Amino acid sequence: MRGVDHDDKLLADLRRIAGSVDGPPASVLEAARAAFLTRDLDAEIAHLVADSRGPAAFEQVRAAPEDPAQGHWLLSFSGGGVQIDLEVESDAGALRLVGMLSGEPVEECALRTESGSHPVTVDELGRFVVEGLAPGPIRMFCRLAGGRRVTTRWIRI
Amino acid sequence: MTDLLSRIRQGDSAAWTALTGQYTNLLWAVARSQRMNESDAADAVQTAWLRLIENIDDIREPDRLGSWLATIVRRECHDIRRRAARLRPGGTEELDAPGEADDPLDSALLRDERDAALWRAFAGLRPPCRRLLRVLMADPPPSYTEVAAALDIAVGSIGPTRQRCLKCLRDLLRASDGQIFSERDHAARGPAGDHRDHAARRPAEDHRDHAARGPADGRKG
Repeated sequence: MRGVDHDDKLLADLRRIAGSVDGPPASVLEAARAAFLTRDLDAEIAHLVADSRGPAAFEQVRAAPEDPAQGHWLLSFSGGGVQIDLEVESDAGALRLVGMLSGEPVEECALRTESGSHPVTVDELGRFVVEGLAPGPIRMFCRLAGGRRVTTRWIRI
Repeated sequence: MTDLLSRIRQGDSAAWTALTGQYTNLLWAVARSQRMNESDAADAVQTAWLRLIENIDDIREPDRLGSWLATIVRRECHDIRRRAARLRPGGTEELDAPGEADDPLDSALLRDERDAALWRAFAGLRPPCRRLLRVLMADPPPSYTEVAAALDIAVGSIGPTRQRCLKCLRDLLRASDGQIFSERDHAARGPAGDHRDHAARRPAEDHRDHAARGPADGRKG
């Protein structure tokens, strides 16, 4: 048993050191607390229904399969009466979203990122482009003509 | 935990703050164990919190919340690595991709010489040991169920691996002790590299008999 106590002591030392040199920065804790404010009780959720780099790929990471959609990342969300299709393009370090909105008429849309909300201009055919995005979590938020609100789930681009 | 969750569901932001206070350190440890740099680690942790808040009404097993969050962070880290490999033409997805956090300088922040030596020895461990110990270092200490989720390994393997890794760490520390006291003026040349050589020379098989004795540690997840 002495060895075990000895191990616990060593690990406790490591924990103390990690706490002083590699703890989560204050900004990470603040962002975690602030995540509560993103809660939107009223908006309906548009769920991710298609992802060309699908979630199944998580588990295949070690096998590193060839991705047929490499360079073209397509995401589709559906729910609350709308469908939102997004293509994520990488452009000189920044990311660009080329999107298509279909379904019920939409009054206004915005793209939420961690740094704030960007208004999205949707043309009469439902197309929109958002440029100059930094990699990170985004969610698209729309107010429908009928007053209902729809938001996609957070997705990290 | 059930109580905390129901308070959060009712919109109690203090309960949310308490929850983030309890798990952010673990989630950070998970991301750092996957060798994410600070900015990627911050993103992975934040994604887990955003995911939780949007699924807060659907969490069925409050006791597994830590494992749920840790799993999201692990997957996010894989995802970040995968994407980074794609953005680098001809990039690979090896775990020790260049440019990622190794943080040898962190030990310079430690005034205590023994702490600095211990942290350098930790950095010199092989990746599987470094990953496991980094997660076990989370504060408060994670349950083995959470560690298993964080690293996608079997709960039963944690005790023996922990024991073996800590033994390797002691070996590295002893080697560095010799260095500190006999070659003190050489320490500035970057002892971490020397430790890694040492680790590479020492096959894991040396410790296998030790590990085979099984988990002396009776902790359950």
